[in-house]
Amino acid sequence: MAAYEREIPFLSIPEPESSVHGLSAVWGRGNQLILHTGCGQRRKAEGSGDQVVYHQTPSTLHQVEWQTDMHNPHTRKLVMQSHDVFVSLQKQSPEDKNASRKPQLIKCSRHYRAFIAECVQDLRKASLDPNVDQTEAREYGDQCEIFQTIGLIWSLCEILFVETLPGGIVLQQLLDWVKLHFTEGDVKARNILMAEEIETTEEYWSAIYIYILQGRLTEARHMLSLDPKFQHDTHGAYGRIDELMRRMPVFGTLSRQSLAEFDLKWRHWQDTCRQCLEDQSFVSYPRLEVVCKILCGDQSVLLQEVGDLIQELGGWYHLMVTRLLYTNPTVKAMDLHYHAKASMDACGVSGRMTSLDSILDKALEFDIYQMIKISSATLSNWWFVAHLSDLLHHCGQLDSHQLNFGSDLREFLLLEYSSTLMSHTSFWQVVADYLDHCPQFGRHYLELFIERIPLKTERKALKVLKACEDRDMKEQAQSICKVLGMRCYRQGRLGSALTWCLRSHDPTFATYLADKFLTEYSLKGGFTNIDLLDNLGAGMLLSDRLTFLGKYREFHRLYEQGDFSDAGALLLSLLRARLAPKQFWLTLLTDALPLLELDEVVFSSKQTYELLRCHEELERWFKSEEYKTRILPKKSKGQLELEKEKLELLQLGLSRNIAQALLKEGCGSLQGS
Amino acid sequence: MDIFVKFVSQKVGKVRWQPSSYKGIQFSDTFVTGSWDDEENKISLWKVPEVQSKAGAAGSWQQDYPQQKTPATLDGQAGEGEQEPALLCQLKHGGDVTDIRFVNQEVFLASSSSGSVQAFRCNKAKQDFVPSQKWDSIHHHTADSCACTCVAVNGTDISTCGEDGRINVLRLEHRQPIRTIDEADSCSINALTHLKQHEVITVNSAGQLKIWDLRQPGSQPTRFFIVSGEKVPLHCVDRHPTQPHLVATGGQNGILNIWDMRKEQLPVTLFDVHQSHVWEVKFHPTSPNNLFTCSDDGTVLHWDATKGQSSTGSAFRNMNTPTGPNPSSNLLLRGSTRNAPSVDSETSSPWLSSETTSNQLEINHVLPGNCNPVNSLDVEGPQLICGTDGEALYYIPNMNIYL
Repeated sequence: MAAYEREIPFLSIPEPESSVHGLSAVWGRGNQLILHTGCGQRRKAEGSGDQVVYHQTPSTLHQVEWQTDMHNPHTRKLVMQSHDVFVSLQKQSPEDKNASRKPQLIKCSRHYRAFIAECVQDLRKASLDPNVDQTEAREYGDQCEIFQTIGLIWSLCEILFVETLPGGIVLQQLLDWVKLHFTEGDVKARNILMAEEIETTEEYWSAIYIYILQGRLTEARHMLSLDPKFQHDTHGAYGRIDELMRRMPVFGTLSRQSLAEFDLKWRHWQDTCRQCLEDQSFVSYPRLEVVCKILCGDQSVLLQEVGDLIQELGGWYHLMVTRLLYTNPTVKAMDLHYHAKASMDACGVSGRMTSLDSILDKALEFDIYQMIKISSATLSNWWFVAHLSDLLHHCGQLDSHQLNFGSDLREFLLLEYSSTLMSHTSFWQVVADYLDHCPQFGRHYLELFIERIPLKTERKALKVLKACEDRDMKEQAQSICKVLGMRCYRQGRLGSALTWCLRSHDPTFATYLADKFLTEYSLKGGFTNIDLLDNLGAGMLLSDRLTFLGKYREFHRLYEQGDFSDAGALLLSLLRARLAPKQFWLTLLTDALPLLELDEVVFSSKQTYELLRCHEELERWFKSEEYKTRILPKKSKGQLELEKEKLELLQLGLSRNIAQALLKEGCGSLQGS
Repeated sequence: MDIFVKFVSQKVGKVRWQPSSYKGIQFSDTFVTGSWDDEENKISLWKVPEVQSKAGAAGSWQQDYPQQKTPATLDGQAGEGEQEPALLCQLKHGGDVTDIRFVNQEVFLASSSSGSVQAFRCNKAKQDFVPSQKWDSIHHHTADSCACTCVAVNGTDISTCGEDGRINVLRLEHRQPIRTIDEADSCSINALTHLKQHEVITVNSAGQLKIWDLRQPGSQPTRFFIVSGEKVPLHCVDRHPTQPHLVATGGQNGILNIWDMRKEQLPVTLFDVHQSHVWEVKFHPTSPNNLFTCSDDGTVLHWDATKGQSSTGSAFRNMNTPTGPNPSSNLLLRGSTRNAPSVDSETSSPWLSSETTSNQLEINHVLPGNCNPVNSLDVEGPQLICGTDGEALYYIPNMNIYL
């Protein structure tokens, strides 16, 4: 994965029977395939009729994932950190004036760069860690190199596209760029300074040269002053070169001088340098002569005397920066690519450019598309291109360039990047945030992705549900509740199933569950999940059946509390409202029986008439076609007899109640009159 | 207030301070985290650097007294890096870590989404911990495994609850649960805490709060409470450390409910500040007028009910200040000792009086700028830790906590 040249990876699946039956595959989430032994023979035998294939050994599922660079603990950190920056970057409204947004954009870019650097450090540490096994360590090493390259490219892009200065004078930034990424000078200097005695070895001079090549003249002068000869400077050569280095004018963006003024000063300074060289001031000090030649902008010395050093420092791009420093310090960003060409020719890389060379070259040509294209083809890492193109998009450097498959470049890269994250269990929140900012396909991807997130615990389900609700994805939210509800139902936890159902406001499922509760009641003769049913509140109104269930439970509660007249009235209203399914009517009427048997009269004559009417309706239903064809065959003989007996008892009870009620009402009216 | 972030490459599900071995004298410097929702979950033991001696650590009061620059503050660059929590030990864990509780200074319990509870024993000298006892699948469906969601500890009594609506009572020395209430709840129980010696309080997915007497037989709760309005799930519960009738819960809709166990059924006060699920609520263990909540919307809130009451001094100023580099300012501080709040806490708890709360209660954001869901927090003394889905661990060594 980590190589620049993409080889076609070869992976063999250790499945013994695959040689006979072939392999079948199903897509997983993102870059993930689930492989198993197929049934290749069946297709072969199709001509001679279907033949079922029996495998000798049980097939195993193999999960194959690719582009998993961002899944190890060190790059994961980068994923999370860059996610935060990405999200905050998207929050900035694009309507803002360029001027006010720029500091924000630069800040974001710096953040990204800092995180890349941190990642490089972590990876380097991990690759040297003796506790990490060898292949893993090698992989970390490779990744470390890639991220180092990414950091180099990112810094250059930041200079060219993000932190553009008015006037386009880029030299100071370029110097910072080489200083940041090529620290050999500091390493060498530190080695020398750590030594007990300062020796003017080859390394010592290399350090000075590198400092000068990078325009860090203060450091160079400091190093030079450590030379013992500096103290006994009989010919004044050291003093002179020190003076030259000290007086080199620097064009800073904050300095008040105009460009022309600076140019004049600078020319004057270089003339002084040349004068010194012509005066042969350094003829007996070859090292100092080299320094002076560099200061004069002598081309040949860069390729010969210090040519090896420049190669060590990175080659043509360093050469370009050094050359510009001592020949053309007021170069504009737009002209850089001419100088790049020249430096490449000088270093002889034009014919054999590595991918890094061409990426930098394209960046200097301001050809963003080519740069991103080469980067995505060679860096084996979607992280970089996705984030860079997003940042450039926000800088307004990336005009919407329609690709021939629908989305623009930025979106395409973001989609690719999020696909590499999808195969990891833990990244779904990050993926969702990236997909949110893909205007064309993001929503569609996300809908498909969210349906495929495995939901092992309720907590995760709630979090995914929240993600759906935030994005107004009703269908997916419904399906999550349904899946969870059904799972609870299958595990026999009707209560939990009902809470999921109430959460999704799904009336059909509510009706289904209420029926299950009622069946359970008829079978066991009592309610379970009382705590829930008693406290349904407004949730009860979700479906008629659920309302009935809730009210029916209320009837039981009233009955248990001995509040018979209220219980009776509630029972009657349940029958009257016709909320209950017909097969449940007998149960309801039977529930009225004990009320009818009481000493005091619960039902008035009018109410009893109504009960009688219900009784008749039920009997009619028993004779109906619907009942006979659908329900009758399912009932046993004993059940039928029991039902018959109940009906008769009921009829008896009702008629007796009418008599009692009439009598009582009669008495009441008599007393009243 | 300094905030230190540590990226841990795992979504943090729970964080818990390990109780200090010198309780009351020294704050704990180690804590345990458990990850969730990963391919391989882990339990980790962390150590925070000793920051108390640093200049900024003790809060704003020090600004009046110019500090002498100690060597530690001079090379601040080197010191900064040290302030991140450092990993001491890490073990794999089967399933999500759903809850962590310490039984004593050494032993802690971790519950798993696979339905089991595992005890671990810390070794202070070796700075590691080892698994000791395990209760396998004490939460389960008839055929399936099911998540254990929470653990509560009171003395030697341990109670656990799960998505199966079961309550188990465990003891460290017993291999089997000593009591199981099978059909305690018809929904998932999301959190529980001990109210008294034998009384636990549970919250469930239907917005109900139940109190159980674990000595009584049967599967009926002794008391029952329910949220007002829509019956949204409650995710967390915590009891006021000194007034056991006060209970705070947080739920799905982002509302913080305060309940008075002496009253009937409905919550007494509602605070609707969070945008989303409140995952953990925590009274400060020694300054209970401070409450902390964390939420899925990425906010951590510090509810400060000390305003309008007597003291404005930091509760931890004396403990906070070491006999360190600046003894003179230390002395000055001792001079201005805090007054004990003279308010009769029984009659006027700031958490209950809703009409006065508006001017008494101050709500502060603890983690500005964080956008990732915060799953868990724990506070001890002035130190707060929280863990997020953004795989980050936040450590705040010097919260401004008043009595």
